Amino acid sequence: MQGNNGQLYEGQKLALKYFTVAIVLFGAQLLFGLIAAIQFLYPGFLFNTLDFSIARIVHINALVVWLLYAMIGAVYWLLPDEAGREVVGVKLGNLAFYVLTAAVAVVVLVYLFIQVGPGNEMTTWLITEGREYIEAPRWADIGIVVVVLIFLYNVYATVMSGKKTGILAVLMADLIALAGLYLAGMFYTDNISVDQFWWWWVVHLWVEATWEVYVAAVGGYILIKTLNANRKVVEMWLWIEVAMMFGSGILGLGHHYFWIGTPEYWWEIGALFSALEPVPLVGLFVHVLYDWGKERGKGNTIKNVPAFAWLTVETFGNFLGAGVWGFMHTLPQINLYTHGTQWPAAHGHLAFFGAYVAIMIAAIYLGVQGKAGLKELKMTKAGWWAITLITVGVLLMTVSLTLSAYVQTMVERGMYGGTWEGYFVAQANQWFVQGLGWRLATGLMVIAGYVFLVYDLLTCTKKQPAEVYEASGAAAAA
Amino acid sequence: MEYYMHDIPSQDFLPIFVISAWVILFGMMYAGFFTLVKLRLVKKYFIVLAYLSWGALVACIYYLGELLRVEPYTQKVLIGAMVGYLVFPHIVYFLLEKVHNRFEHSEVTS
Repeated sequence: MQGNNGQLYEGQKLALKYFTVAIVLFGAQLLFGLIAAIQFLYPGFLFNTLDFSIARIVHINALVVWLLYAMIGAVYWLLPDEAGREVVGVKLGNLAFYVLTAAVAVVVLVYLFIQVGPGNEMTTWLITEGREYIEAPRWADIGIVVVVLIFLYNVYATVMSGKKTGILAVLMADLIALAGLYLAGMFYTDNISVDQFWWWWVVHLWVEATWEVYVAAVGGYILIKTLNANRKVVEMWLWIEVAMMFGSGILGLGHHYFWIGTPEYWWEIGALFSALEPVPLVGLFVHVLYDWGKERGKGNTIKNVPAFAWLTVETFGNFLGAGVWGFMHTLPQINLYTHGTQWPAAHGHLAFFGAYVAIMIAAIYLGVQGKAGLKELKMTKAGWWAITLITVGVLLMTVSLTLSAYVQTMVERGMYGGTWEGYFVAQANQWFVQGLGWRLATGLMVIAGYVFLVYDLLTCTKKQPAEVYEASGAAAAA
Repeated sequence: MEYYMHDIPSQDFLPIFVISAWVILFGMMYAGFFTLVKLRLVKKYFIVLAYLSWGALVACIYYLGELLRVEPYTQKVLIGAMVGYLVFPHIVYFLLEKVHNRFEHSEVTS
């Protein structure tokens, strides 16, 4: 886990900086999600000060940015550990971190205080590009590309001159695709269909292909670190997962091309490959549980209980949120009625949480353990409350949104044929509103869990049982 | 392929919602019981419940396809997906077993 004499590598210290900003942005994401949830029920709330559109922009962009921060952080954490050497270009990496953080701060301030532009070229360059999830203005886009190029250089240069493991090989290939896809969302087109066509290359091929592969690689590393799982087993399985995720995920892109003016053959392609998308997630689920079952009987203790607990949440959440909730509305016959309702919102909340948030929190717990130099990390009471409140909160939020989605689909699409009138009738339906009310309540539950999480990340290494410190002390002496 | 989308009568919405919920539940029960049995956390004979859940899942998916008025191609995709769903956990488990047996005790883990 660490360099010589129990000291952290410089790359790992950089990872901790990324993790810190990630957790702060996670809080911002939840705060603006709460504001948006209140505005659903009380439309006058902050009207003309911070409209729903702005609260939503910050909510979803903060999500993407904090996950990217945590992803870069996790790579910087495992990179020197896996490669067995310091990160090449770590000073450059530090500079890139500060540049990126300053850029993110400026972009957020512009979202909050400028909000909208005149809708010309200047808006695209300085205020927002108006593409959901990747709304950064072009100057920030270019900055992000430079930062990511530095990151890629650091990864490649380090691996080339260090040990080459299967996990690193998968990550190297995956990060190139992940970074390259971002370019598809950077150019301007005045045709909405063409714009959406390319925009989905970024969003879908991130979250349903390259990010999933990233999760499989980092999940494998966490299994090795927390369970002492056999590296060969983990890496062999990793290749199978990668093949399946790309096999289903790339053409699964078809389910976004049903209604944006692309050719109709996307219906068949989307139906087939989308139906296959949950399959690798079942594999991930069975694999993690199987390894746990295998390693459990050997007298091994789990080296980092909170990280492993969050990894377990990830396998369940990914399968349920991305797999089951995705499959629910992915066939064109169903999607004809459900697209653009609360249905994708329900799926999006559980999928992002289950597939990415949970595993990034697991990686952050590994960082916390490494920073304190502890051989083991047990679950504290605050950690237990954090994982329970956040996980149950998001699950219930998803169920609430799903119930609202049922009503909206039935009334707006089924009874009123997707008309403007149907939209308003559905929005006013008492069952729809009640579902959104429960969503707000569960949102508060998640925020309470977040408070516990921050507290636990700051204090858990000081609240371990005595045997943990004894074991770590003995290891350090040896 | 010539392809038509049929409108779904509004009285079919509730059955579609209910049957969709059963699809999710039976799908989870199959994956859940299968994994629990393979992890030896429950008795072996519970595997029967896993396969019964899968059978019920296929019936629900078929009926869902009928309610959605899907054309033959999508119906085939749906049933094909169900066959895949049946086989897949077995393949995963088989691979994991083989890999574990091959590498167990063969090297010191990191």
